Amino acid sequence: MSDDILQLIDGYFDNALDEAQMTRLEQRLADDPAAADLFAARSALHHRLIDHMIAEAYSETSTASDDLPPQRAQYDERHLRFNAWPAIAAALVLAVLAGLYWAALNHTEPSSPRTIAAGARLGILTNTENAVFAEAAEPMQIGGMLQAGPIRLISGTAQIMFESTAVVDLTGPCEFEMIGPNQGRLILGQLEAYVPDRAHGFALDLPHQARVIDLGTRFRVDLNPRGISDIRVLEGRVRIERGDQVIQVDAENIATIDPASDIIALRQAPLNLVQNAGFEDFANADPARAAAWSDSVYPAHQARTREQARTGACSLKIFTAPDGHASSDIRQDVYVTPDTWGKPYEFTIYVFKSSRDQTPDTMNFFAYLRPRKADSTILQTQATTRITAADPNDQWIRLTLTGIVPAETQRFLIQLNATELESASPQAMYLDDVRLTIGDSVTSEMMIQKGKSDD
Amino acid sequence: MRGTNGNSTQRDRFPRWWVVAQPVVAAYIFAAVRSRADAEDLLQDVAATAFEQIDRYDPTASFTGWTLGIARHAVLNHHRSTQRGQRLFGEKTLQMIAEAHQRAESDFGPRGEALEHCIGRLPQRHRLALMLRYRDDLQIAEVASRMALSSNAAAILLHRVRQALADCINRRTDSEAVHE
Repeated sequence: MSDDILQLIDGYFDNALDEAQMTRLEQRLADDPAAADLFAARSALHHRLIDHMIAEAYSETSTASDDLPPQRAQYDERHLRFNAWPAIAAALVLAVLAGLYWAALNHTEPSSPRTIAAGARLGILTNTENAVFAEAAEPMQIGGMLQAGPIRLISGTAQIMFESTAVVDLTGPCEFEMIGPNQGRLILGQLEAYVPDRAHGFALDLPHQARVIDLGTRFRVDLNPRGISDIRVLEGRVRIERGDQVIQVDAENIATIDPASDIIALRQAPLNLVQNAGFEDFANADPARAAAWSDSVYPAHQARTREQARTGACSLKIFTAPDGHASSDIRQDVYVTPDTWGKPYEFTIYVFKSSRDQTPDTMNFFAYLRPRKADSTILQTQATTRITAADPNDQWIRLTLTGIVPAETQRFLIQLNATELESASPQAMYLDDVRLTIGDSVTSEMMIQKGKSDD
Repeated sequence: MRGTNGNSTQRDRFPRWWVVAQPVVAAYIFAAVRSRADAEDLLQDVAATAFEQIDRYDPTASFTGWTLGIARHAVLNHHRSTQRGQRLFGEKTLQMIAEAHQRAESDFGPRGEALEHCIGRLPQRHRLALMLRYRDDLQIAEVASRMALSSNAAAILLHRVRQALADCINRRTDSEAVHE
């Protein structure tokens, strides 16, 4: 691509083109997709340069004093206007501002957070499900701006998006406190944090001088009333600090902070033996055929969907069809080795049904778990509880099976069954996060001695 | 796929989708209007419209592409109502550059990190030119005046700095891809 088109594009962004040059540029963009691609790349560069330079200026200014540069002050004025916004639309403010805030915040060590002014808006309530809140200074409404202070969720779930765009899902009973634009404190209960790149460095304070610092990740924390925290890294990596201990924890590992112990215990989460457990991956373009799951599925009744997801972006939807089959099943064989014989196993699957659309009436769902010998003899059959219309809607229901791996097991057959599917009444259930683990919940344990750091 | 439930789930996921789409949509709007204030207002309008109409979004399609469609209409309406004598792109060109922004979506994340690295390696004078143009939002003639250059020389300097940044970013992202 010649430099001529690049000069025209830069001239356009600099408002420096005359009429003839503008006509020439527009002709090239309208007729030549390669020129349009170059324009988009340059557009991204210009936009990022604006964000970078303003954020850098804010960082320098906030280090020197509490005064804001003019650009930042303008954005704060704009921020205040969003009080009048309907519902979640205000979330965009956070995203718009995030690029400007973050470079500045990134220079602030978590151990010395900026002083937050009383009444400062730190985030937004982006969703709730059957949420019951304890006393609050202001009504908790979706789209409402959230100030520094505690949030006491008695039951249900609530989702908060920080100014940095970090998102936390709280599950009641839970007590949480927003203490900065990219920092919170968990006092009790369960929290799952999703931290996009631009919110990198999100810090979560825990009891006993502990802190979790995101290094680009998704993680879940369970903090029980005895003050014991389990930090499970679902994706990416976190850094955990407690006193003078610092450790990094990668995905599929769990760190435990126990007030009765001076050390942070780190253990590996048991390996999930199920392939494509969240129905995220597909081997081919046919959305009805999830990779690793058997081909003996009926496309008339099931497909991967983004309509619901417990984790990740997708789940498997099973639905009725007037001209379909009475039932369907989806299968996966999970192979095991003889050293697993006699060890405990646990199987789980999550099922969801909605009260708003395609609410189940007649259809139902259950799963079989069948250890088999090499000659395909079924050694035993276990069935989960059956999910029917009587079960609660709008929440993920966990079905579990446990047992001891029988001798001579070569593989477990996982069979996901739905029945009563031939119906004119549109009904659906969603499946996600199938899991089969073998062995004790702690497969290995490593104690990090006080003062030791792998950082 | 049958019966998408325009529902709390899509609303629930809106912030996460928007976080990914927002840089692309923001860049597109800014490219189309070239006014920071107008671009900010339009971006807010686009996000509000996207949220209000989230029931119409087909989750099997690109969310960024869907919001770019909303942005294109917002820009067209903005152009029709704006009488500033500024030459603006026509409908076909806006469509072409919207499609190009969608194609470039995957470049936004890693290239942002690369940009920070590459700016840090620039000579002080080049950084000054960028600060005057982007932080202080000065036009080329004002940048030239502050740097004791002719307007033509300032425009050429900025063009060369941008090209150096673009080359540096490409090298860095290509290198990271090789080492992944």
